[in-house]
Amino acid sequence: MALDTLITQMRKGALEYCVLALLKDQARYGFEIVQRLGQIDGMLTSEGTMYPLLGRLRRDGLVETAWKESSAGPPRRYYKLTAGGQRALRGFKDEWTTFRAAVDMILETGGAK
Amino acid sequence: MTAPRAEQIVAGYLARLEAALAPVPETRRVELLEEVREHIAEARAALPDETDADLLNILDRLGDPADVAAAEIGRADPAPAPARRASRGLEIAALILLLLFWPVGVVLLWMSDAWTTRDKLIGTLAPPGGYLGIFILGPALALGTFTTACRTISDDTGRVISSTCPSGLAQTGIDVGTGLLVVIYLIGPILSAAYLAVRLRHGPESSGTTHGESIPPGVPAVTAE
Repeated sequence: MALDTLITQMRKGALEYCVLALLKDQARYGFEIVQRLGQIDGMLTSEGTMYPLLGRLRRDGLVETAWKESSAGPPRRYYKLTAGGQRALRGFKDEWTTFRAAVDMILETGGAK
Repeated sequence: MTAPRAEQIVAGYLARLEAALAPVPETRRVELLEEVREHIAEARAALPDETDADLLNILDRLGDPADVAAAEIGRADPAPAPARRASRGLEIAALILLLLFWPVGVVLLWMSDAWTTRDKLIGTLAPPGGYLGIFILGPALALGTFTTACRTISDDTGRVISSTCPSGLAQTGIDVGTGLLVVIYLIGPILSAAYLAVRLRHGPESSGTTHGESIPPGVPAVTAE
C-alpha cells in the first residue's frame, strides 16, 4: 500500500473518534467542530464531508442532536455524545494508546527489547 | 462584491450538492443541505469584510459537492473487490450437470460468474449436448453401426466361412467415422468439463491481478523505516 493511501485511511479512521473526543465534555455545533478540526493541520481535507460523518455517527447512536438558541442568528443544531459514544471513545482511546506505544517502540528500537 | 452575485455562487454550490445527493432519501438530503447552508452562513458571518475570494475559499474548503455526496452515500471508499467465494457449489454443479444433464448444466454455466464468456461459449459448444447428446445421437449411431456391421462367421479352425459385408472399403470408412464420433462424444464432454475445471481454478482473470499483491515468502510484510 502506498504511504499516502495508508495515511489517508488512518486519518479517516481516526477522524470519527477525534470528533467524538471533541464532544466528550461539551456539545458543539457542526461549524464549530469543523473549525476546531480545521485548525489541526491535516485532519480535515474536505470540510463538507464532516456533515455526512456526523450523520453517520448519529445513525450509529454515538451522538445525538438538539437545537439550541444562538445569540447571533438562527438556532443551531448541537451534537453531543450519547452513552454509546462515550463507550466507543473510551474503547478507541485504549486501543489507540496500546497500538501507538507498540508502533513507537518498534520504530525506535527496531524491535530489540 | 455585490450580494446577488454571492448568493448566486452559494446557490450554485448547493444546487450541485443537491444534484449529487439525488440517491439520498429526501428527509436526509434536505437536512444535509440545510447543515451545509448553515455552515456557509456561519463562515460568511465570521468574515469581517467578505470578498469574492473569501467566499470561493469557503466553498473550496467545503470541497467538491461530489466528494461530500460520496461521503454521505458511502462511495468514498472504493468498493473492495468481491472476495473470492470459498464455496464453488454452483460451478461444481454446473460441471457435473454438463456431463449428466446438459441443459441444466449449461444454464448453471451461464449463471456462474467464475468463467469468462469465451469459456462459457467453449463449454456450451464443445461438444454440444454433453452426454445428453449421446442419448439422442447414440441410438442413431448404434443403428447405423448395426445395419452396416459385417457379419463374419468362422469355423472352429478360424477359417472364414462367410462374410456379409455389403461393400468392403466403404464399410470400413463408415465404421471409422462412426467410431470417431463415438469417441468424440464419449471423451469430448469430459475434455470440455476438464477445461472448465482448470479455468475455474485460475479464475476469470488469469492475468494475475489477484497475485499482484502477494508477498514473496521470506520478505517481511512491513518494513519499518
